[in-house]
Amino acid sequence: MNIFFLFNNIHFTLEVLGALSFLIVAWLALDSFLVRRDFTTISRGIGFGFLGAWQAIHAFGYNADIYGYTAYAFLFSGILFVIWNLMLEAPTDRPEFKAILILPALTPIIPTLNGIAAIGFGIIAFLGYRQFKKEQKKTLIPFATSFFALALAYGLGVFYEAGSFGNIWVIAHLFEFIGFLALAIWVWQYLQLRIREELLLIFVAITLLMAAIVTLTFSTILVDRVAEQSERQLLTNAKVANLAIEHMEKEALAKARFISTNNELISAVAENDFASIEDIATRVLKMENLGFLTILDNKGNVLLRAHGVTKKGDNLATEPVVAAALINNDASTLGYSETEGFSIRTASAMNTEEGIVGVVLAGFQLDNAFVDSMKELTGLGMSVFLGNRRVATTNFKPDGRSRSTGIQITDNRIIDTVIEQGNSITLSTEITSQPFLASYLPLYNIEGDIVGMLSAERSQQEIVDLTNSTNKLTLVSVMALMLILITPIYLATKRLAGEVK
Amino acid sequence: MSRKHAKWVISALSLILGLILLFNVAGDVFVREVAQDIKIEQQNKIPTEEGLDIGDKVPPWTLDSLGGDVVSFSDLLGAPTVITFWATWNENSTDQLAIFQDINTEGIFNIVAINNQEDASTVSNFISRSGYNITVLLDEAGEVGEEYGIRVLPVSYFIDSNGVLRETFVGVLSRSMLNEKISLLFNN
Repeated sequence: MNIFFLFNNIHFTLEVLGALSFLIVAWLALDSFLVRRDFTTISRGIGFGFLGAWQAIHAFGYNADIYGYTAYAFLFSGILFVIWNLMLEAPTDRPEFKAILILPALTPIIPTLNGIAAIGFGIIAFLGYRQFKKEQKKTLIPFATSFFALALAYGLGVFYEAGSFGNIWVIAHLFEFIGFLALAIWVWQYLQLRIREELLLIFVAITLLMAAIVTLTFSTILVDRVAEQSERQLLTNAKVANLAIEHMEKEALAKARFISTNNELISAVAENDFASIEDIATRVLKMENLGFLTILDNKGNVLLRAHGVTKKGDNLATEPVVAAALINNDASTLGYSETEGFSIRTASAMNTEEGIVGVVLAGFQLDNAFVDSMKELTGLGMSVFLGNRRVATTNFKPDGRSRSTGIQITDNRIIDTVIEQGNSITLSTEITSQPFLASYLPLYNIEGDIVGMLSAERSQQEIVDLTNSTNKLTLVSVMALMLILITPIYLATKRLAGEVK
Repeated sequence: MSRKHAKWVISALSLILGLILLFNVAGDVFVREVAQDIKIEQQNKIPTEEGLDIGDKVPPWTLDSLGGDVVSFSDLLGAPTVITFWATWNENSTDQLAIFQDINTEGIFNIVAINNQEDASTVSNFISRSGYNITVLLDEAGEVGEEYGIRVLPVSYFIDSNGVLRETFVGVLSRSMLNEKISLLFNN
């Protein structure tokens, strides 16, 4: 079980529990308002109703900012009403609460909104505690504890970003759990006095609990399956890309050999006829569909780069495949060149009766175009690494305008397994602070050394989104069913309550 | 007004006040984001001393496509068109092609990528390697680019269905930026 999914599900359950606790308090307040008809009671109902609505939106998540702001509007209105309710219940010694009204305008971002909510919850906890001190009402202890824990949870909320499950996240959610538990204990004290509501709520709570357990269990199984399948698919795709590279290496070598036997080209090189070399090479480059094509003389000097700018005086004699070709051994490798970058490089000698007149260096770049074509085939994100540095990728940065190349892999599990030991690895890892499932394979050069890696990636967020949508759909259907079921049960409890009296 | 009513009025007012404050906060964020966008837009606007001006009728041209067909600008009229100039050696402009690749034009607008001053063989090799499935035209002599007054790559021109230039943008357009600009073309 992946910790990321576990946390995601815990978060969801906790928020639903919170929504339930708040809504029960709201409902109880509304119920007693029907009898008492006073503002104090309804203000509590409205306050907790708002908090419940906030909690429900928070649990199910929101796609557009406008829903996010509406949710926060519910949260703050809820906090204000609960504070107001507490002041009405203990009318003396009103504290100054101007601060709450001034703070929001200064703070445009969500962590700060959480901070303000924490202050709000803190004030509620403080007021609850004061009321307890004044009236010695022990029932208020869980109430104050609950809001104190919520204040701590929201206060910690300032320090983590949504979607990152660090230590602070765990501690904050532990506090949140304590908060909701204490609130549930508080409201239970009141429920015990009312048999009808108690029965009804036991029914609702157990149904919800069961629905939550069943939903989350199934979604966990589903996610495990999806993740498992993704892992297999990722490894397969990385292997497919690796095969493609091997195939391209053979293709490039075959083409280099074929070009090196072109008599026109051989005589043009032997005669140093640059115009003919350019003409033939450009034609051949297009015909053979190569990534790059360089013609060298028998000293390794570059005569022409058919795919780009030729610099006078460039010598590639030290490049392993060129060195091999210069002693008449055709060779292929994966390597880095300043002109072509990380690429598949093959070389073949051009022979005449007098010996070697030159070398054909041909190949394919392992660049963004390559990974894009692989993505087109497999549908998954792909990256190429030179050593542990990402040189080509299909992944764009969050701005959607540039690729996230240039980053270094720092995860030691990947470096040890792939670069040090030469094995493949499939794991969940963080890439630019985002959780990904990824498979890595080593890439070798002519000497059999590992020069880089190939990876296939899938964002874990995609899988989590799938779980969340399943969870939401199931729970919403359960709640709808519950609402239908609740009517006859409500009537039955009415009769039961009547008989008990 | 009774005490009970007063409380209701106060509660409603406080709620409204809370919402106003919140929308103020939200509005602030919104204004900032818009301001940021405007700043980016201004940085990316092309000085219009030479080349085309916004509101100009785009001059007609005829270019070879990579597939061997001949494409005229007049063929594209009747639907909004995005023309981007690019080259294989410029990584930003090839990234732009990758972004275009994912966009479904649904036959209601055109995206045309004009390669600037490269051999057909170089362009064809790049396109076949990458597998990008978009309309690529060849401006080997760079004449069309000169007429448009391009200085940097990539650069995109947003042209309405009547062939009038509505906007220019230097740099890579993200998918969302492109969608936004295309919807503006439709509104025009």
